[in-house]
Amino acid sequence: MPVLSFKYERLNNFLEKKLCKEEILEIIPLLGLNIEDFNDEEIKVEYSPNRPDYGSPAGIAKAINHFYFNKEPSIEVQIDKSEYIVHVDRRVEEIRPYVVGLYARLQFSEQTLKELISLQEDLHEGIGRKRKKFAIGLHDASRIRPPIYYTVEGPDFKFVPLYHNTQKSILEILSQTEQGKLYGHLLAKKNVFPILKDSLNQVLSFPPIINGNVTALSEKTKELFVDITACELEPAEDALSILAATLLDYGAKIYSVEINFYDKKLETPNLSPRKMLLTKDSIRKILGISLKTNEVINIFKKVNMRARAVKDGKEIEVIVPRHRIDILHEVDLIEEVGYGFGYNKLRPLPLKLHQNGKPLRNKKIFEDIRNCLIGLGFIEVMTFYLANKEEQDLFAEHLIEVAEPKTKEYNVLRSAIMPQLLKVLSSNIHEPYPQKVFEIGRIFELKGRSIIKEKVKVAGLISHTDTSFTEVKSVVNALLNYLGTKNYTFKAYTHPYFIDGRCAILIQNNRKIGLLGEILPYYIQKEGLRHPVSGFEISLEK
Amino acid sequence: MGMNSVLHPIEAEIIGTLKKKNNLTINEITSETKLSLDQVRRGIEWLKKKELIELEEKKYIFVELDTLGIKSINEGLPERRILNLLAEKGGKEEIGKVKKELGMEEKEFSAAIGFAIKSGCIEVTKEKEGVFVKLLSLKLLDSEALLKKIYTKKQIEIGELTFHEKRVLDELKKRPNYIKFREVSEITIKAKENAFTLFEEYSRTPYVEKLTPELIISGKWKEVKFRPYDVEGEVPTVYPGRKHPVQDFIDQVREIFLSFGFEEIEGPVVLPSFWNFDALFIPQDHPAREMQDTFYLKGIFDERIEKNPIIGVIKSIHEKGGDTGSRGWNYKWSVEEAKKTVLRTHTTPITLQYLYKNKPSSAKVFSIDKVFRNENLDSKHLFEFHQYEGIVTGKNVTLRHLIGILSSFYKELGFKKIKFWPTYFPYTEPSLEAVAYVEKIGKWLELCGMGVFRPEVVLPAGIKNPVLAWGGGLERLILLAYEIDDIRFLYENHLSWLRGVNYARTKL
Repeated sequence: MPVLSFKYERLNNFLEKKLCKEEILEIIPLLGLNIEDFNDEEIKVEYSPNRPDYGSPAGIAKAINHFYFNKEPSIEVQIDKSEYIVHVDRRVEEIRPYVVGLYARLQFSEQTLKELISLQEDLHEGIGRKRKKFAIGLHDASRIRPPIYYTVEGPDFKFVPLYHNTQKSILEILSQTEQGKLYGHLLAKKNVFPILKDSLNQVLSFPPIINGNVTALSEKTKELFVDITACELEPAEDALSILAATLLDYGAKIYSVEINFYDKKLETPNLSPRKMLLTKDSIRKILGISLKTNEVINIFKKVNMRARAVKDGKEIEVIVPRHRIDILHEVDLIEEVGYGFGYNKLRPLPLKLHQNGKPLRNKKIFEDIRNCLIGLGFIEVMTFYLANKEEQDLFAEHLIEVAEPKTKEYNVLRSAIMPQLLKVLSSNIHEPYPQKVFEIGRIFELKGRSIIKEKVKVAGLISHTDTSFTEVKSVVNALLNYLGTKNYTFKAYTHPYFIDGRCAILIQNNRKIGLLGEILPYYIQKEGLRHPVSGFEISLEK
Repeated sequence: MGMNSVLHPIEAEIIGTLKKKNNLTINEITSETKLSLDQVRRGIEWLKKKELIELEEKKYIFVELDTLGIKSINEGLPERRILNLLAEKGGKEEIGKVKKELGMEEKEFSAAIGFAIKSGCIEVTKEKEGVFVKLLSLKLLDSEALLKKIYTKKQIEIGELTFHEKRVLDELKKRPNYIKFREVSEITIKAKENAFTLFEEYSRTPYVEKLTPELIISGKWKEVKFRPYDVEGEVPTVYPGRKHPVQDFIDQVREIFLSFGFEEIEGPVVLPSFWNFDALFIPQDHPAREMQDTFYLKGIFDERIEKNPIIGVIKSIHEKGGDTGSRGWNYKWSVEEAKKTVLRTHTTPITLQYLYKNKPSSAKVFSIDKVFRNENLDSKHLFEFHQYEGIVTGKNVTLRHLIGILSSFYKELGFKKIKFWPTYFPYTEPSLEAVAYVEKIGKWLELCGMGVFRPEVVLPAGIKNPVLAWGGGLERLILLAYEIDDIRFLYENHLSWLRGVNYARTKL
């Protein structure tokens, strides 16, 4: 989740009236923002990536202005045309077909610049999915000579990339720069590359990798040109509408840009709001509150939306600003009503849905097993289902591996519990003996190529100087009798985990349901243990 | 005197031995009795506590040969070498020649001449031709005799030496590097008079140590006297079998759910992405689905879901909203992505599959089970942990009911001050988070996520009524209850903790 840090003072610059630290700390969570940290000057908030309009102090201040100071909604924006035109070369169609843009006049400061670049990064990371869905270029428009051309160039094409002082070819940028290495994989596997340049052949950007240095922003910038390129038009327009909204929050004046595709023309940004319908009944069904139409209308004002009664007051039409891309469904509007109303004002209601509590049947059996083994002096342990390949190797023909585990030594789903228990003994070498441990948990088996069977098993280990097959068999007998298991037999068995001649399987109805014996000293020694260990593992299916 | 008035058999054995000869060391007692060294040590501990014995520390000084002493055994003392040379030369030789032939330093030579004169073996005479040394006797020197004695015995306690030997030793002490001393202290045990009195009593009384079946059956137990035990003393530690504290906590939370009339459900750990993500309206390019957050199984794809007719519905909902009235996520949904198998990242697929399977018009269900995230193991993160989750559905249930349930649920767990804040989850709307003020840590703590399942999630399952859901991580509650900082500790299974911990039973 993106995180934003700012001073209370900075937020106050954009607020209708100044708020003190305590008031700000009170209001922020009510907007759906999470306070990560704060001190006397600064606050750190986490915002959901689907609310990028919260991605700047100005954006948060706007929300507070509506929510707390009841400022009238500002949805419709008057946009004049700029002289900027982008001509789109047909050859980009195969590699990165869409470009949209805007032109803005704005009083920049070092702080504004920092905040806009941080928002740009959050957009790239969040809804941009690490630039997969779109790439944003911010430019000092005073350096650009329109019209602008969105075209293609070959691998040897050279220009000075942002924050560099020498020319680099496209291939050099891809192989040498940090951005090239990070985002090069997003380019179509063609030998041509998208380039945005002006009428003087100055390079604005090589999307989605890096901008040109010539249009770099500074705190002296007064005119801004924004380009957004993408493989699909809608995500690009979404991102542009968010940037436009934020620039407006910063007091910018926005102008549209004409995009000349070979087959169509487009005026961007498109800030026309969406209209959606809502009924008071659906609000009541979800939130449990009955509101009057005018109450609903007033609540929507607090979240910068305009609402009015339609169809003889049966429904409410809501005008949703273009940049609120998170509003997908009527329920999203209901949520806006919820927090506009205030969740802390929602009084709890008692639930009148009576039924008896019903535990899972198998949990009762597990409880029996637990009681029996605890009675026999066993300590319950809990280990991970993820285990180490080498330790599990003996217990399955095909282990189930997880891809790229961050904790490298836990790389397979376990197929047996006993090796995990042996590790537990290994880490308790200095604790008094005898040691008896057990675990009830799942194991995983691969059937065929892709079917995974999950079984619940109980396993136990006993370790002290005199433990033996006899002891562990007595325990298994005691457990099975406790559970009322019938018709089981022990059969001599050879298994590499156990000493030859001191291992048996447990059979019931011709099915192997368990394994027990004295563990091979090789494994005991390998875990640094000194006492004999005997163990059992029994399947609990049925 | 009470219980101390009767000796334990081990104590009696020790006192009995000391009665024969008092002032023995622990080793001596051990060799005199049939007791093991360990038993003797323990017995002495007890006797000391009962003030029946006194311990005395005795110091011994041992003498041993040093480097020159050892050398003299092989080569002879310097004065012996002078005597031997004189004997070879016919009993008389010029002093300078003696020194030269023996190749001795001036200091060593003159000292040796001095010792030889003192023992009466030579005399030095001044003649016209010069100074001569004359042999008088070849007898064994006292110093030689003592060195040899020490050599054969390796070490001798000074107290064992005769008066004469002690004088010779004093002389040898003056010659550097011939002998050295070692101090050894030894503890001896001396029984006090009252110990012997108790021993007499012990020997007189036919105490019975053990109650045997024979004594019971024959009725002889009526005639014998059982040796009283020191019932206030230490005994060996035994450990009961125990439930794991995490399991104990799970059971407590289960009890709360069950007492609220919830039905327990469960589901598989391994799932196709479809059930873990797609059916929950989590778009396929959502960051949570990346390999760095989610465990995917290597090369395993669930082909069965392709035949499930529901995938067409989910595809259209993701892409354009389907029939749910939603705008959808506006991208191309791929069944291949949905086939990838994962370890469930949350317990919500369990409740979701329950809804699909049972299509209840009303229900209260819960599950508490393991979930998996591809994390580095550290003090704050586990890759495998527990979530608890509950859902409620019914004709007239609303968010206000959910707030009501959670208020009582967390009250049962001991949280007194609870707030609800808006937040975001892809599969619930509205989405809230319950936070509680925890006095122990002086902070607001996130308890759980909660909300009403989105229509995009429940409509394909055939559920028309609102579905209220909440769920959270269990371990953070356990850490709080047990006041543990490092989350890994819960699953390190230290027997010292498992054997001895007091279960966190009280409300948090």
